[in-house]
Amino acid sequence: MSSKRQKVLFLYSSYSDFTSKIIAWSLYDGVTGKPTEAFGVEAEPPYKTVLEAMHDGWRVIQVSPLQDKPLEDPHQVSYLKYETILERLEDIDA
Amino acid sequence: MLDKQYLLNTKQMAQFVAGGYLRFDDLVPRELCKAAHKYIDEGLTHQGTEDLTGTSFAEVHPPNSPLKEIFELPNVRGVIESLLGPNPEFDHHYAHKTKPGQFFSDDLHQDAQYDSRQTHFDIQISFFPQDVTEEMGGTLIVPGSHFRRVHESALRRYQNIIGQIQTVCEAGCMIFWHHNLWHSARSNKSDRTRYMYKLRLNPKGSQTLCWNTDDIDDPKIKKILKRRQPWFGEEARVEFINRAKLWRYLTGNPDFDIDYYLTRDSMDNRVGAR
Repeated sequence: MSSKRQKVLFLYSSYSDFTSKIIAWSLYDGVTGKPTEAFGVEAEPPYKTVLEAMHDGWRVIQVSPLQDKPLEDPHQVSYLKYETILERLEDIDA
Repeated sequence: MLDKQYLLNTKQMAQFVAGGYLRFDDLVPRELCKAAHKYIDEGLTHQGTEDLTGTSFAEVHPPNSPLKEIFELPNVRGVIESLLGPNPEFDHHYAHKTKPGQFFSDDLHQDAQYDSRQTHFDIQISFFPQDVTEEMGGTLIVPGSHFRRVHESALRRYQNIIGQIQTVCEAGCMIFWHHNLWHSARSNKSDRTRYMYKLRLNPKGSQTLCWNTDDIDDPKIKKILKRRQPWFGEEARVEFINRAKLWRYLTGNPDFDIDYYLTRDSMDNRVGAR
């Protein structure tokens, strides 16, 4: 059995680049296996930017593509646009 | 006919358009809150109200029930009528009870299902009949999320968004919110059951100029409509466009604009290019 477990961090940026401010985030912790809870009022993201998370050892595994707005409804807004998914593998006690 | 002193003013309407909600503390007297708390606790029916859907809201709550008394308070009626117009219709209601220790993980959602309406809106009212501390996990909302069209719970993996607000309040607080506002229940880490009565109402007719419009020319209104939410990022401008569209509907002014975006976008029509 592998002695490593994955943590997955979702970071949502204010623009498409990796140096823009983080506006939303989520963490799934495969080490503890316990669900994470939203923080509430005083929430602060774990990193200011995606680049800062990379510098701390997180590996980027997916980036949302840039997408056109449909001409028939160019003002529609929906999900957060700039999602980066990162992972980190951590050793556990075998 | 309600006296206009009970209606919202234009600046408050602009706050609703910008943020998707209005919160009023101390709207319901504490004695009425106690009566409503007991009424809900003793088994307010939240299922089986389908036969009431679409009926006049004024006829929904039984006579002498504390909820009828509460929703006939002039200050409460004034907010409802300002947002929806007169004689709104009942959609549904639900008495949320969250037990001590009840855990919520990823729960952010938008009610109902993908709603394609471009302008007119329902309101949902969250009424808190008891004091809600932070550890009781009151409703969390994401201000400014009401123009986002998503599929109900598809956004559950958004655990935290900068600017989110968790409700902490005293008994008697009401939050009136646009039907599309993103929200979430939070875990109750206290030893008390948390109660929140939620009510959804539909407009019966036009929602244009239903509030106290004495201040409609106040220059502060546009400033309110241009307040950014901290999570908007690159999409702040398109959010302003959506606010301007809703403001055009609410005020009946087809020329209203924020930063010339809609005006510029409609120039194809005047040059015959579209």
